[in-house]
Amino acid sequence: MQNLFNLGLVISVLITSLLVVLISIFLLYFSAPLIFGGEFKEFFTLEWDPLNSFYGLMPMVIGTASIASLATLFAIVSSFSFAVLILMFLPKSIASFLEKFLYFLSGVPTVLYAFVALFLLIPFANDVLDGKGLSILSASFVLSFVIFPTISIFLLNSFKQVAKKSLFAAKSLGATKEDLFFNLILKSSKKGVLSAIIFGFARAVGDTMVALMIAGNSLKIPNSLLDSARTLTAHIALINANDYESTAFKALFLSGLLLFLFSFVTVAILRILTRSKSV
Amino acid sequence: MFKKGIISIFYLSFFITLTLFFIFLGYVFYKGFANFSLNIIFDEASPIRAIIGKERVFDGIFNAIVGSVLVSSLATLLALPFGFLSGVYIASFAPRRIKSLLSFSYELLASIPSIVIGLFGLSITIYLHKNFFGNLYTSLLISALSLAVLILPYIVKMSEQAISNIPNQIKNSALNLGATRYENLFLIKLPYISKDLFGGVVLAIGRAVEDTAVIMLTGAVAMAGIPNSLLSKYEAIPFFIYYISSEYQDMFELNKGYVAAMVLLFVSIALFLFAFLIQKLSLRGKFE
Repeated sequence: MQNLFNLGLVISVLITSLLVVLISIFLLYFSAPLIFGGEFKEFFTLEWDPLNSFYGLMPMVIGTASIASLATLFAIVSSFSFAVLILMFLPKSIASFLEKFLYFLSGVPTVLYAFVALFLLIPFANDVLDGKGLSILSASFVLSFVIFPTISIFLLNSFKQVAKKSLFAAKSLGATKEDLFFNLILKSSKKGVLSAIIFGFARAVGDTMVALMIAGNSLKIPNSLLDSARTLTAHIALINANDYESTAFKALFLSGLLLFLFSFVTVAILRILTRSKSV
Repeated sequence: MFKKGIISIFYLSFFITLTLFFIFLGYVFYKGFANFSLNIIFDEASPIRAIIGKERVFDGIFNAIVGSVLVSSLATLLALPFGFLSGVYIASFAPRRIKSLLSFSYELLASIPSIVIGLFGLSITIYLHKNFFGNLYTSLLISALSLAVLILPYIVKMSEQAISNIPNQIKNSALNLGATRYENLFLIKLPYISKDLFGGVVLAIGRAVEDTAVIMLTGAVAMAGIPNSLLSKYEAIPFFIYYISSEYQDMFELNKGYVAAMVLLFVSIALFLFAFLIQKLSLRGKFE
């Protein structure tokens, strides 16, 4: 009986931990003809036009980078205000309710945000911006709502780790709440803040539905925030799975590989940040 | 003065964000309720006969609801045993080095964008289709497997944390009285954390229900009816919402989208509250 249980443990750990390896192998296997085909550089050019055999992925990389960083910027402001107010400025009962509300919001389907934005925000944005509603700006605004609960929870948890002792010491020396936050909590949780931001940015990069439905999916290199753009994730989602052999289809796996490498780097950075504990 | 200024900016942004969230939630419920009718869900069929499977629904969102329930429960069933056992292994048996390596792999798996997991499911299907099974296409089974990959890291992490959070006196007392590690695990630890686990499973179901990117690459389609085998295409609520938003022809179709959005929001609220209540119950049990 125990042997059977041991066997089950070993088998399931092997399967579950090797899934990541399996995913990377499949992405490599399908994009290998492109990587080793001698035309690798062509995938990092500025034009995607399969009909004329231009397979540049740079428009999507730029689209992803601009939408995700703008969304993170928006979300930082609102996450900081939620985390700080919940931590020390709001009455306890409201604060603990809001904390649970944040946990709930972090699980709201992203397709709902995009759906509502499409019928509430976009007509309004079209009026104000001369028909440029489907743009980087609106997509990153909506995306900031998707990543904001996660960043807030992350920030709040790292603020809470500041030692009670030093808080009491500072309070008894007459520090106001504002002093406490800016001079003590914020300074001692720099790494927590940094990892929260990186984590939020990674979520923004990984999200598909908002960019797919709101950013307009144009293939041109965006020149301004009001231009439409396509992200790597949306590019994969717009797959046309009729021709498995085409270069355009294989280039999707290269996009997937880029996203995979990006996740790898983020997780590694977050590990390094959390291992060497500040305070 | 400067600090007070920043805090008041925080208050301002706090209220704006909160207002926008309430507008968002209110809009989904308002539009959903305003357009709700049994016709939208069941079309012409009678609800009871549709639910027991006697009558087919052609043009309602009932098919999508059934598809979502099937695919997410299948995914949870697939992910649960493996994820749970891996969590148990990491928390109670793994040596330190292996533990850190394993947790890196699960963190990485959790951070991979869901569309890449969908692409993985699709590529496996293509590979098997070309080399082994000529009549394998993207389907309910493939979607469920890919969704299982998506929720697996959550289940692992949740079971690992539940076990490592057991207070030391409870963890060790049976061992000191001569119980083996297995007796300790099955008779002490698992019963102690059972409610936490249940709550975590409910949250994992929530993740599987909400995800759109995975299923849109692995077999969800706009019109399929109720799937009659694991290898057939199916409809799902999140995909239906996406489909309606880009392809709706008239107000009636759009209204179906609103109702579907309300159903999805309602499900995610219900699952969250359910998980929350279970965890609350388990805490109360511990203090008595």
